[in-house]
Amino acid sequence: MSYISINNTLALVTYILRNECKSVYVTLLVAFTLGVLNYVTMGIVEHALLLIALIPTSASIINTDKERIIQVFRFLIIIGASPQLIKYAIFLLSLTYSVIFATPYVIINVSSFLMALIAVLVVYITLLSMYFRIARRS
Amino acid sequence: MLDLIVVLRDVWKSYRVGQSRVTVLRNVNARFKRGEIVGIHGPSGSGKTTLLKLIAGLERPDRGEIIVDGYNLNMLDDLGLAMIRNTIVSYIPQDYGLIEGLSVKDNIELPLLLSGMPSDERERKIDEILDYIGLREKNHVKVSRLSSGEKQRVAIARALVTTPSVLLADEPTANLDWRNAVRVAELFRSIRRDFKTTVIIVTHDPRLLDFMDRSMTIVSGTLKEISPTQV
Repeated sequence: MSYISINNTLALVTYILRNECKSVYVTLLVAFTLGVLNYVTMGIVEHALLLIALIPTSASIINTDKERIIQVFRFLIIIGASPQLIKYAIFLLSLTYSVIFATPYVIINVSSFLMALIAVLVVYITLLSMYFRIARRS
Repeated sequence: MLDLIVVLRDVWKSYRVGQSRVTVLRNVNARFKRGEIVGIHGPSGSGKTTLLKLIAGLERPDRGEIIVDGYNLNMLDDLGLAMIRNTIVSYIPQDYGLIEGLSVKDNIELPLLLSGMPSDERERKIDEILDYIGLREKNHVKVSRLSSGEKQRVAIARALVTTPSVLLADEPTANLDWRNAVRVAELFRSIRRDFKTTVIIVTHDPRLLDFMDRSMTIVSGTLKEISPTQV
Protein backbone atom coordinates (compact mmCIF):
# COMPACT_ATOMS: atom_id res chain seq x y z
CA MET A 1 0.00 0.00 0.00
CA SER A 2 1.30 3.47 -0.82
CA TYR A 3 0.30 4.53 2.62
CA ILE A 4 2.66 7.46 3.04
CA SER A 5 3.32 9.10 -0.29
CA ILE A 6 4.60 12.60 -1.01
CA ASN A 7 1.63 13.07 -3.33
CA ASN A 8 -0.84 12.26 -0.57
CA THR A 9 0.87 14.59 1.88
CA LEU A 10 1.12 17.45 -0.63
CA ALA A 11 -2.47 16.98 -1.74
CA LEU A 12 -3.62 17.00 1.85
CA VAL A 13 -1.66 20.12 2.78
CA THR A 14 -2.80 21.91 -0.39
CA TYR A 15 -6.37 21.05 0.42
CA ILE A 16 -6.09 22.30 4.01
CA LEU A 17 -4.38 25.53 2.97
CA ARG A 18 -6.89 26.19 0.22
CA ASN A 19 -10.04 25.43 2.15
CA GLU A 20 -9.44 25.52 5.87
CA CYS A 21 -6.73 28.11 6.55
CA LYS A 22 -8.52 31.39 6.16
CA SER A 23 -5.96 33.12 8.40
CA VAL A 24 -3.32 32.68 5.68
CA TYR A 25 -5.09 35.32 3.60
CA VAL A 26 -5.40 37.59 6.62
CA THR A 27 -1.69 37.19 7.32
CA LEU A 28 -0.78 38.04 3.74
CA LEU A 29 -2.91 41.16 4.01
CA VAL A 30 -1.14 42.07 7.27
CA ALA A 31 2.23 41.53 5.56
CA PHE A 32 1.33 43.80 2.68
CA THR A 33 -0.07 46.51 4.98
CA LEU A 34 3.01 46.36 7.23
CA GLY A 35 5.30 46.67 4.24
CA VAL A 36 3.49 49.75 3.00
CA LEU A 37 3.36 51.30 6.50
CA ASN A 38 7.03 50.65 7.09
CA TYR A 39 7.90 52.29 3.80
CA VAL A 40 5.71 55.31 4.53
CA THR A 41 7.01 55.79 8.13
CA MET A 42 10.60 54.94 7.13
CA GLY A 43 10.89 52.21 9.76
CA ILE A 44 9.82 54.29 12.77
CA VAL A 45 6.94 52.05 13.82
CA GLU A 46 8.57 48.75 12.95
CA HIS A 47 9.05 47.38 16.47
CA ALA A 48 5.56 48.22 17.62
CA LEU A 49 4.19 46.65 14.46
CA LEU A 50 6.26 43.53 14.98
CA LEU A 51 4.63 42.92 18.33
CA ILE A 52 1.21 43.70 16.95
CA ALA A 53 1.76 41.32 14.02
CA LEU A 54 3.16 38.48 16.12
CA ILE A 55 0.15 38.18 18.37
CA PRO A 56 -2.66 38.10 15.78
CA THR A 57 -0.83 35.84 13.36
CA SER A 58 -0.04 33.26 16.01
CA ALA A 59 -3.48 33.59 17.52
CA SER A 60 -5.21 33.36 14.16
CA ILE A 61 -4.16 29.77 13.57
CA ILE A 62 -5.16 28.84 17.08
CA ASN A 63 -8.56 30.49 16.94
CA THR A 64 -9.62 30.90 13.32
CA ASP A 65 -8.40 27.76 11.64
CA LYS A 66 -8.12 25.28 14.50
CA GLU A 67 -11.63 23.83 14.43
CA ARG A 68 -11.60 23.42 10.64
CA ILE A 69 -8.19 21.77 10.65
CA ILE A 70 -9.23 19.49 13.52
CA GLN A 71 -12.23 18.31 11.47
CA VAL A 72 -9.94 17.39 8.56
CA PHE A 73 -7.47 15.49 10.73
CA ARG A 74 -10.31 13.74 12.56
CA PHE A 75 -11.76 12.63 9.22
CA LEU A 76 -8.35 11.36 8.14
CA ILE A 77 -7.87 9.34 11.32
CA ILE A 78 -11.32 7.77 10.92
CA ILE A 79 -10.70 6.71 7.32
CA GLY A 80 -7.39 5.15 8.27
CA ALA A 81 -4.73 7.69 7.34
CA SER A 82 -1.41 6.60 8.77
CA PRO A 83 -0.01 8.51 11.75
CA GLN A 84 3.09 9.27 9.65
CA LEU A 85 1.05 10.86 6.87
CA ILE A 86 -0.68 13.10 9.39
CA LYS A 87 2.60 14.06 11.07
CA TYR A 88 4.20 14.90 7.70
CA ALA A 89 1.14 16.93 6.77
CA ILE A 90 1.36 18.83 10.05
CA PHE A 91 5.04 19.49 9.46
CA LEU A 92 4.46 20.76 5.91
CA LEU A 93 1.49 22.79 7.04
CA SER A 94 3.58 24.39 9.79
CA LEU A 95 6.34 25.11 7.31
CA THR A 96 3.93 26.84 4.94
CA TYR A 97 2.38 28.80 7.77
CA SER A 98 5.87 29.71 8.95
CA VAL A 99 6.88 31.18 5.61
CA ILE A 100 3.70 33.20 5.51
CA PHE A 101 4.05 34.26 9.15
CA ALA A 102 7.63 35.29 8.53
CA THR A 103 6.73 37.52 5.60
CA PRO A 104 5.67 40.58 7.65
CA TYR A 105 8.90 40.47 9.64
CA VAL A 106 11.07 40.07 6.58
CA ILE A 107 9.31 42.97 4.92
CA ILE A 108 9.94 45.20 7.97
CA ASN A 109 13.42 44.08 8.85
CA VAL A 110 15.35 40.97 7.83
CA SER A 111 16.97 40.65 11.28
CA SER A 112 13.49 40.23 12.75
CA PHE A 113 13.37 36.79 11.19
CA LEU A 114 14.35 35.41 14.58
CA MET A 115 11.02 36.50 15.97
CA ALA A 116 9.30 34.81 13.08
CA LEU A 117 11.10 31.61 13.95
CA ILE A 118 9.64 31.78 17.45
CA ALA A 119 6.21 32.09 15.87
CA VAL A 120 6.99 29.00 13.77
CA LEU A 121 7.80 27.02 16.88
CA VAL A 122 4.58 28.13 18.55
CA VAL A 123 2.59 27.07 15.50
CA TYR A 124 4.30 23.69 15.17
CA ILE A 125 3.85 22.84 18.83
CA THR A 126 0.20 23.92 18.63
CA LEU A 127 -0.46 21.74 15.59
CA LEU A 128 1.32 18.74 17.03
CA SER A 129 -0.53 18.95 20.34
CA MET A 130 -3.72 19.32 18.30
CA TYR A 131 -2.92 16.10 16.46
CA PHE A 132 -2.36 14.14 19.65
CA ARG A 133 -5.59 15.51 21.10
CA ILE A 134 -7.56 14.42 18.02
CA ALA A 135 -5.85 11.03 17.93
CA ARG A 136 -7.03 10.43 21.49
CA ARG A 137 -10.59 11.70 21.04
CA SER A 138 -11.59 10.98 17.43
CA MET B 1 -14.89 -19.77 14.96
CA LEU B 2 -14.38 -18.50 11.36
CA ASP B 3 -17.97 -17.34 11.44
CA LEU B 4 -17.05 -14.73 14.06
CA ILE B 5 -15.78 -11.36 12.83
CA VAL B 6 -15.59 -9.37 16.08
CA VAL B 7 -14.88 -10.79 19.51
CA LEU B 8 -14.62 -8.79 22.73
CA ARG B 9 -13.24 -10.55 25.78
CA ASP B 10 -13.36 -9.03 29.29
CA VAL B 11 -12.98 -5.49 27.97
CA TRP B 12 -12.64 -2.64 30.45
CA LYS B 13 -12.27 1.02 29.60
CA SER B 14 -12.03 4.07 31.81
CA TYR B 15 -11.25 7.74 31.33
CA ARG B 16 -9.50 10.20 33.54
CA VAL B 17 -11.81 13.02 34.62
CA GLY B 18 -9.89 15.54 36.68
CA GLN B 19 -8.19 13.67 39.52
CA SER B 20 -10.40 10.58 39.37
CA ARG B 21 -11.10 7.84 36.80
CA VAL B 22 -14.55 7.03 35.44
CA THR B 23 -15.14 3.47 34.26
CA VAL B 24 -17.10 3.53 31.00
CA LEU B 25 -17.07 -0.18 30.07
CA ARG B 26 -17.03 -3.02 32.60
CA ASN B 27 -16.06 -6.54 31.70
CA VAL B 28 -17.69 -6.43 28.27
CA ASN B 29 -17.95 -9.74 26.41
CA ALA B 30 -19.55 -9.95 22.98
CA ARG B 31 -19.37 -11.87 19.71
CA PHE B 32 -20.50 -10.66 16.32
CA LYS B 33 -20.95 -13.00 13.35
CA ARG B 34 -20.11 -12.28 9.73
CA GLY B 35 -22.97 -10.67 7.83
CA GLU B 36 -25.29 -9.91 10.72
CA ILE B 37 -26.82 -6.60 11.69
CA VAL B 38 -26.76 -5.89 15.41
CA GLY B 39 -28.23 -3.00 17.33
CA ILE B 40 -26.79 -1.79 20.61
CA HIS B 41 -29.25 0.26 22.58
CA GLY B 42 -28.58 2.40 25.62
CA PRO B 43 -29.02 5.83 27.15
CA SER B 44 -26.58 8.71 26.63
CA GLY B 45 -23.31 8.22 28.45
CA SER B 46 -23.76 4.46 28.79
CA GLY B 47 -20.56 3.68 26.85
CA LYS B 48 -22.02 2.95 23.38
CA THR B 49 -19.70 5.24 21.44
CA THR B 50 -16.66 4.08 23.41
CA LEU B 51 -17.51 0.49 22.50
CA LEU B 52 -17.58 1.35 18.78
CA LYS B 53 -14.32 3.32 19.01
CA LEU B 54 -12.63 0.35 20.64
CA ILE B 55 -13.77 -1.98 17.84
CA ALA B 56 -12.60 0.62 15.26
CA GLY B 57 -9.19 0.81 16.93
CA LEU B 58 -9.65 4.50 17.66
CA GLU B 59 -9.15 3.80 21.36
CA ARG B 60 -7.39 1.06 23.27
CA PRO B 61 -8.93 -0.92 26.14
CA ASP B 62 -7.47 -0.75 29.68
CA ARG B 63 -7.90 -4.51 29.96
CA GLY B 64 -9.23 -7.30 27.78
CA GLU B 65 -8.95 -8.31 24.15
CA ILE B 66 -10.62 -7.16 20.96
CA ILE B 67 -10.24 -9.39 17.93
CA VAL B 68 -11.40 -8.10 14.54
CA ASP B 69 -11.29 -10.38 11.51
CA GLY B 70 -8.58 -12.44 13.21
CA TYR B 71 -6.44 -9.44 14.26
CA ASN B 72 -5.91 -8.90 17.97
CA LEU B 73 -6.02 -5.11 18.16
CA ASN B 74 -3.84 -5.09 21.31
CA MET B 75 -0.99 -6.48 19.22
CA LEU B 76 -1.13 -3.71 16.58
CA ASP B 77 0.73 -0.40 16.67
CA ASP B 78 -0.85 2.88 15.49
CA LEU B 79 -0.01 2.19 11.84
CA GLY B 80 -1.54 -1.28 12.09
CA LEU B 81 -4.73 0.16 13.57
CA ALA B 82 -4.85 2.78 10.80
CA MET B 83 -4.63 0.02 8.19
CA ILE B 84 -7.44 -1.89 9.93
CA ARG B 85 -9.60 1.26 9.69
CA ASN B 86 -8.76 1.68 6.01
CA THR B 87 -9.42 -1.91 4.99
CA ILE B 88 -11.44 -3.96 7.50
CA VAL B 89 -13.49 -1.67 9.75
CA SER B 90 -15.34 1.48 8.75
CA TYR B 91 -16.67 3.83 11.40
CA ILE B 92 -19.41 6.40 10.86
CA PRO B 93 -19.47 8.98 13.67
CA GLN B 94 -22.69 10.64 14.78
CA ASP B 95 -21.80 13.91 13.02
CA TYR B 96 -21.09 11.94 9.79
CA GLY B 97 -17.35 12.73 9.88
CA LEU B 98 -17.30 14.27 6.40
CA ILE B 99 -15.28 17.23 5.11
CA GLU B 100 -17.98 19.82 4.44
CA GLY B 101 -15.93 21.81 1.92
CA LEU B 102 -15.34 18.84 -0.37
CA SER B 103 -17.73 17.39 -2.93
CA VAL B 104 -19.59 14.11 -2.40
CA LYS B 105 -17.21 12.35 -4.79
CA ASP B 106 -14.05 13.74 -3.14
CA ASN B 107 -15.21 12.65 0.32
CA ILE B 108 -15.87 9.13 -0.93
CA GLU B 109 -12.59 9.03 -2.84
CA LEU B 110 -10.27 9.93 0.07
CA PRO B 111 -10.17 6.46 1.72
CA LEU B 112 -9.34 4.94 -1.69
CA LEU B 113 -6.56 7.48 -2.28
CA LEU B 114 -4.99 6.49 1.02
CA SER B 115 -5.04 2.84 0.04
CA GLY B 116 -3.16 3.68 -3.18
CA MET B 117 -5.86 2.45 -5.56
CA PRO B 118 -5.28 3.39 -9.24
CA SER B 119 -7.37 6.26 -10.62
CA ASP B 120 -9.56 4.26 -13.06
CA GLU B 121 -10.42 1.69 -10.41
CA ARG B 122 -11.28 4.48 -7.96
CA GLU B 123 -13.64 6.06 -10.49
CA ARG B 124 -15.37 2.72 -11.08
CA LYS B 125 -15.82 2.03 -7.36
CA ILE B 126 -17.13 5.55 -6.67
CA ASP B 127 -19.66 5.27 -9.51
CA GLU B 128 -20.82 1.89 -8.22
CA ILE B 129 -21.24 3.12 -4.68
CA LEU B 130 -22.99 6.35 -5.72
CA ASP B 131 -25.45 4.31 -7.77
CA TYR B 132 -25.99 1.99 -4.81
CA ILE B 133 -26.89 4.78 -2.39
CA GLY B 134 -28.77 6.74 -5.08
CA LEU B 135 -26.71 9.92 -5.03
CA ARG B 136 -25.15 9.78 -8.51
CA GLU B 137 -26.67 13.12 -9.49
CA LYS B 138 -25.13 14.81 -6.41
CA ASN B 139 -21.64 13.67 -7.38
CA HIS B 140 -20.12 17.15 -7.60
CA VAL B 141 -22.22 18.87 -4.94
CA LYS B 142 -20.42 20.09 -1.83
CA VAL B 143 -21.36 18.16 1.30
CA SER B 144 -22.24 21.40 3.10
CA ARG B 145 -25.17 21.84 0.68
CA LEU B 146 -26.77 18.46 1.39
CA SER B 147 -29.64 17.65 3.74
CA SER B 148 -29.01 15.58 6.90
CA GLY B 149 -30.43 12.46 5.24
CA GLU B 150 -28.17 12.91 2.21
CA LYS B 151 -25.12 13.54 4.41
CA GLN B 152 -25.83 10.30 6.26
CA ARG B 153 -25.99 8.43 2.94
CA VAL B 154 -22.70 9.99 1.81
CA ALA B 155 -21.13 8.97 5.13
CA ILE B 156 -22.37 5.41 4.54
CA ALA B 157 -20.95 5.49 0.99
CA ARG B 158 -17.61 6.75 2.29
CA ALA B 159 -17.58 3.93 4.83
CA LEU B 160 -18.66 1.30 2.31
CA VAL B 161 -16.36 2.20 -0.58
CA THR B 162 -13.44 0.21 0.83
CA THR B 163 -15.75 -2.85 1.15
CA PRO B 164 -15.06 -3.35 4.86
CA SER B 165 -15.94 -6.51 6.73
CA VAL B 166 -17.37 -4.49 9.61
CA LEU B 167 -19.40 -1.29 9.46
CA LEU B 168 -19.86 0.65 12.70
CA ALA B 169 -22.50 3.39 12.88
CA ASP B 170 -22.84 5.71 15.85
CA GLU B 171 -26.43 6.98 16.24
CA PRO B 172 -26.98 7.02 12.46
CA THR B 173 -30.56 8.25 12.76
CA ALA B 174 -30.12 10.75 15.60
CA ASN B 175 -30.36 13.79 13.30
CA LEU B 176 -33.11 12.42 11.05
CA ASP B 177 -36.91 12.40 11.10
CA TRP B 178 -38.54 8.96 11.33
CA ARG B 179 -39.18 8.65 7.57
CA ASN B 180 -35.48 9.23 6.77
CA ALA B 181 -34.46 7.06 9.73
CA VAL B 182 -36.39 4.13 8.22
CA ARG B 183 -34.68 4.69 4.83
CA VAL B 184 -31.25 4.63 6.49
CA ALA B 185 -32.12 1.53 8.54
CA GLU B 186 -33.30 -0.24 5.37
CA LEU B 187 -30.08 0.82 3.61
CA PHE B 188 -28.07 -0.85 6.37
CA ARG B 189 -30.12 -4.03 5.95
CA SER B 190 -29.43 -3.98 2.19
CA ILE B 191 -25.71 -3.52 2.86
CA ARG B 192 -25.71 -6.54 5.16
CA ARG B 193 -27.47 -8.58 2.45
CA ASP B 194 -25.56 -7.32 -0.63
CA PHE B 195 -22.04 -6.97 0.77
CA LYS B 196 -22.17 -9.61 3.56
CA THR B 197 -20.91 -6.85 5.85
CA THR B 198 -21.38 -7.06 9.61
CA VAL B 199 -23.21 -3.91 10.65
CA ILE B 200 -23.11 -2.77 14.29
CA ILE B 201 -25.33 0.18 15.08
CA VAL B 202 -25.56 1.99 18.40
CA THR B 203 -28.71 3.92 19.05
CA HIS B 204 -30.80 5.41 21.83
CA ASP B 205 -33.95 4.89 19.73
CA PRO B 206 -35.52 1.48 20.55
CA ARG B 207 -37.69 1.61 17.37
CA LEU B 208 -34.56 1.07 15.29
CA LEU B 209 -34.01 -2.34 16.91
CA ASP B 210 -36.91 -3.75 14.84
CA PHE B 211 -34.59 -3.64 11.82
CA MET B 212 -31.83 -5.68 13.50
CA ASP B 213 -31.07 -9.41 13.45
CA ARG B 214 -30.42 -9.18 17.18
CA SER B 215 -30.08 -6.50 19.80
CA MET B 216 -28.04 -5.75 22.86
CA THR B 217 -28.40 -3.21 25.59
CA ILE B 218 -25.69 -1.31 27.38
CA VAL B 219 -26.34 0.21 30.75
CA SER B 220 -23.63 1.73 32.94
CA GLY B 221 -20.95 0.11 30.83
CA THR B 222 -22.35 -3.41 31.01
CA LEU B 223 -23.47 -5.12 27.78
CA LYS B 224 -26.34 -7.62 27.71
CA GLU B 225 -28.26 -9.46 24.98
CA ILE B 226 -31.92 -8.49 24.64
CA SER B 227 -34.39 -11.28 23.96
CA PRO B 228 -36.90 -10.42 21.19
CA THR B 229 -39.75 -9.97 23.70
CA GLN B 230 -37.85 -7.26 25.51
CA VAL B 231 -37.48 -5.07 22.42
